[in-house]
Amino acid sequence: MSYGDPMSESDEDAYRREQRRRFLKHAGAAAALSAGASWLALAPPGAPLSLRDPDGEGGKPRGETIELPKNGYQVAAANNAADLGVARGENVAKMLKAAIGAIGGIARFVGRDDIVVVKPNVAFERAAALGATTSPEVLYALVSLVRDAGAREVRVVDNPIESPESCFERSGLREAAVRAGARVYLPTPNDFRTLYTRGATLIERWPFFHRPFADATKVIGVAPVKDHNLCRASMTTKNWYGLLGGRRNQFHQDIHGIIADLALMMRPTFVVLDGVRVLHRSGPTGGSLSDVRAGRTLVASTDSLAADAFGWDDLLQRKGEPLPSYFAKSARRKLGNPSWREVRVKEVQVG
Amino acid sequence: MSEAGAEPPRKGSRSAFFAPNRDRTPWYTRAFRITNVRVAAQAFFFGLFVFLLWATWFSRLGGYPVSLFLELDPLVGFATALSTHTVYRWLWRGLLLLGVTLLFGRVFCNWMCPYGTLHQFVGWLFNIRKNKSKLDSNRYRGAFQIKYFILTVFLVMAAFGSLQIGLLDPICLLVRTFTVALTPAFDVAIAEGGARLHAQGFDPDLSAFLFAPGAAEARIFGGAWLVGLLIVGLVGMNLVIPRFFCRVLCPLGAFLGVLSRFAIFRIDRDVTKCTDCDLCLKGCEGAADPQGALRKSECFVCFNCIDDCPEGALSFRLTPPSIVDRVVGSVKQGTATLFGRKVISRRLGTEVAAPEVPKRRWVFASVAGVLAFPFLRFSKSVNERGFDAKAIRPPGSVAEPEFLERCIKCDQCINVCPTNVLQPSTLAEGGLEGLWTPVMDFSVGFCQLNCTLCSEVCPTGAIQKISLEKKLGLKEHKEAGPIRVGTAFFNRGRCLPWAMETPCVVCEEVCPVTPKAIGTYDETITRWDGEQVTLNKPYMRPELCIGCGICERECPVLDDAAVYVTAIGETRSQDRTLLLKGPKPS
Amino acid sequence: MQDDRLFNPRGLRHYRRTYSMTEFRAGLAVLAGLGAVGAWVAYRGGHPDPSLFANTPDLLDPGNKEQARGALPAGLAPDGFREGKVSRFAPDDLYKKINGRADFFLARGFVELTFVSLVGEKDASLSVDVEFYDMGTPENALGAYAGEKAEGASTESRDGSTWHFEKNALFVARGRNYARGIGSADSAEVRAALEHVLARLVASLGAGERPWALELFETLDVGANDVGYHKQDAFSFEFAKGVYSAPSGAGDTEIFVMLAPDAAAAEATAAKFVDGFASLGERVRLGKETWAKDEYLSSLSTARADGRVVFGVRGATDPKAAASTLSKLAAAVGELRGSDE
Repeated sequence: MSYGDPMSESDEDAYRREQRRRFLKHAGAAAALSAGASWLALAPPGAPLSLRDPDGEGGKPRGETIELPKNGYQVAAANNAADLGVARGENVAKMLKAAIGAIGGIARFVGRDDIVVVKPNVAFERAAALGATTSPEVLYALVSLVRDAGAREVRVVDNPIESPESCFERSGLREAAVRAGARVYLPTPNDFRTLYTRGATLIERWPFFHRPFADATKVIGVAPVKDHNLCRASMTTKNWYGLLGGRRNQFHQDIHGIIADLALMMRPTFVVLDGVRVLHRSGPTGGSLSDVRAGRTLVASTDSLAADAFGWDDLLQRKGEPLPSYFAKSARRKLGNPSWREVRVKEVQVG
Repeated sequence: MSEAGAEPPRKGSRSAFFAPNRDRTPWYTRAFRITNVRVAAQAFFFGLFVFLLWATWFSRLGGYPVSLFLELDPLVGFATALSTHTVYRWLWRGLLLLGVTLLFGRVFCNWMCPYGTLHQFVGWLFNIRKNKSKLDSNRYRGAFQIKYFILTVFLVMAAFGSLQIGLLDPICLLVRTFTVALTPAFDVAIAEGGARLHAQGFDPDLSAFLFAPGAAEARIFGGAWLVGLLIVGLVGMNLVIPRFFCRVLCPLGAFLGVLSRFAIFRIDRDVTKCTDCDLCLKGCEGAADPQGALRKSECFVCFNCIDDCPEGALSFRLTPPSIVDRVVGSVKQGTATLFGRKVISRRLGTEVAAPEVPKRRWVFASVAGVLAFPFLRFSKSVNERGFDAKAIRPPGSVAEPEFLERCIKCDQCINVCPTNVLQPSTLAEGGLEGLWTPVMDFSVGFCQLNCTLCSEVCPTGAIQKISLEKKLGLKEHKEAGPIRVGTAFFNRGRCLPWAMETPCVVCEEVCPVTPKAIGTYDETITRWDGEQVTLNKPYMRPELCIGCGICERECPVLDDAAVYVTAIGETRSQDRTLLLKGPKPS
Repeated sequence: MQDDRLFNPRGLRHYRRTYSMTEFRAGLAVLAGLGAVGAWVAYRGGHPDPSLFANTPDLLDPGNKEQARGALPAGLAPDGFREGKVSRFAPDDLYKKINGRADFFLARGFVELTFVSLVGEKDASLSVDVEFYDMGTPENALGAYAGEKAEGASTESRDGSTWHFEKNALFVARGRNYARGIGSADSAEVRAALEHVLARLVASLGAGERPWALELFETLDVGANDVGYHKQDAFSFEFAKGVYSAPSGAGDTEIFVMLAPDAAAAEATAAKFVDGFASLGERVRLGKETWAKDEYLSSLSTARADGRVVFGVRGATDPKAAASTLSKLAAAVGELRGSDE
């Protein structure tokens, strides 16, 4: 098209049509854009696609929480089984079998298709012999037992204070878990969700190492017997500390209240108290072999308070000293019985 | 895979690829021609480089030579030899590269250097230049001298005892960039992806893909923005000048360039075959003028010119005799012929062996280096007065002046540190001289008691290899005692039991030494609200404190911890001890 | 347009027309080299330095029994007894074993304590606890021995060993070691066991270099357990290094000796001593000797040299006794020199 020549009639029409089409296109686009933008900005809150947020609340993170199963991971009570099984001896595998046998046998707790979370105490980067962590041989025996009972998957989980990888490695617990056929879950930043624990006074909402628990059906705690500088004794109840994230260093401001909340938060299938190595002083970190005593005992229990009280009397050998106050606090919530002599106890000597 | 040049095979025909070339050589001489082998080598070395960074982690380390590239870097070896008069541990490996360079020239730059590969790849991927503008972008420019000035300044400073090559040495720079900026970002992306998958019901174990697996908190690094900005800027410069960093800035390239003047092999142009079409410039990575007098010190030996020469005039061969044949003639009058044959004159060979830098400029750069040393050293950080309280060096470090003779700012120690406590220092802790050297920041992490990994990976001995016995003061090191990196102090005004009638003592619980370096005064008081509380008020036993900083890390007074570590009392320096009694550095 | 003839728009295409087998072979060699590098890295990765991943308990409690015993001699248990577990304690955990008494040993240069209990094979209530101290030097060992000795105990000393028995206990210093054995009862069996322990210790430990000053002082009837040793800064004089001192006679009178590198240095040091003493008072002459009289205590001190030995008397109150002590000391030193040379 050149400006030199006058347009022919048909050219003129075509040109106008083109112009009109273009105008309509642009006008339509402009209208749609402004209408869309207005809807997003002005539509009442709650309407589909509306971004309107008059008070600024909409932009804050939504406090979504998760909850653990209502009765925890407990199994139905059994009449013919003890509540507290104690096995003494040297052979860890046999002792563990005997201790769990005393409370009904592993088949009572773990069946086919169960996804079982095992929580050892891996808190510090210390060699197993120093007694600051769960004994690897106990973890190995426990995972093997659970797998033999038919569990679909066993997950070994902890969020230690020191670097998780080094803790699992140095304590020998990673090797024990993997060799026995478990998967080790090391925490990553995205693995935590806010856990809502009804009735907890201090940690009602707290970041929880949720990922391995998402589809888990059973939870077993396996904790060493340790002296503790602040709460005096760290055993199966204090062990759940390692499932939490966030600002755990505030817990020391009311450690007994926290442990009572932990007992409320996690109702496990059962717990194992590892008395193979007893860190009887300088806890919870230890660091010297002279702080460790051979305990030659394993305890399995559906009542973690009873198990811990037994550990206090028998393994830490502090019978007669008053129990740390978290026992009473937890007992008041009916989470167990710290007077372990009142529960059904079965003691077995192995080998 | 490239297609054949001379005899374009039929598209889509399978056998055409395996057909012999027009010069009757078999197909594989084309498929495995040297430029393709070079690409394979570049991919291999880049992969190896990333793999070794990936392996720089507690659970993967094994016996991998994770600092291999830094040790192979002859500039690291040479500059530390200048500054310390010693060659540490594996740094002799630089000799291997030295030998290769003396044989073949700067092959490192285009065959091995992962940073060079990155530049070349990005330049190729985002290239929009074609034809003449592509040729012109590969012509030599005066600015390419700058790298020799940079090298001179760094080497002169090294001779005075301030090692700054790490600022721009490509290997140090790339290791640092990966450590501080790239891998943390990559890890966050992987972890986020894992969480998304988990929300969809999948639960894959992605820890093998993470550079730093097994931590509940993502790694963070001070000054990551600057390191990140630098890599984006330097790599982006390839769009303006191809291989900008390699040609203009790289001190290692300059060092190898100086050496390559003695190289036995070089690209040779057979002037009787050459038609002066300049096509060889099309892919010339080093801007080495293969179409004219070859600049040997600029040539990266990428062999692209051989690939691009339609006349077969270029070859890689032993340094040719200094007398070469030349066709007589001119553009205007045409080639001179005699009895129908080209007239050949014999004349001197064409190459520029040495870097083209005038003597006076060398001198200027040297003087600049001489001046730079006192400029940097007179800042307070290095001296025994006024050093920064937060310049806490990792265990095994040598005293500060020696540290600065050795540290190449590669940040491998920071990469391997499992707790994220090691941080690249910013201008605040070390001044310009200490920029990006490792310091411990206990608000981020803490020094793990049984860990000596940083001392293992350090290529130059700024952090000297120490055994666990030495770190903890066991066995034969009993007399010397444990290595202390600093001393912890209590700020009673912020401590919960001391100032706020609130029980706490996380610090005592986590203190890892036996016996504990933190003790408590236990006291039962009636609080303002009438409640009886027992307060364990902590105090420090400085003889026992090793400065690991876990107390500071775990202190609930997060922003300005009530217990904090400063550098005083470190055993690496006689001048920075705190207590009169107790073991002294030897 | 001319560009198009020269420049192929398809970027991957190259222009060369000739290829070569040499190039191909060189390429293969390079690829082989890459393979070798990869294999080497993989091999190195599979063979880590075991010490890098050493675990603390290996360091704290070596599996090797020999090491666990430290310097403790073998065969301590006599017939009818067996050895219990050996435990070792360093300065930082000594308090665990002997709480309250740890400072006493730490102040005397304590290096290591090895503890073993000897238990009766038939009667488990019968036992002897042996605490075996490495004190670093013979002087320190003797210092610990002297400090632990009860008043009035009668010491025996022979061939570099110094020991005494109390009811059910044995105390012995030999070389750099000090040991005590404490039995469960004051009985003949325990006494026999202690005698055995003593014999084993004497037989299997080096006597070490017995400090020459002890021999010297012995000829002056000064017990080894009374001898003090000042590694440096004796009497607050910075030049006085390696000085042995012992009380002599009545009051606060002390005799001291030290060894200088050569005779000239000894003379100079003796002069320094006199100067040093005199700086607190004035010089007086008693007979042929120059003495320094303390301004406040009116006590007399001096020093002399004989060969490399510097010796002196410090803090004597009675001029006569001072002179006689000095001459006795001089005679003893002379004798010692004679026997040495």
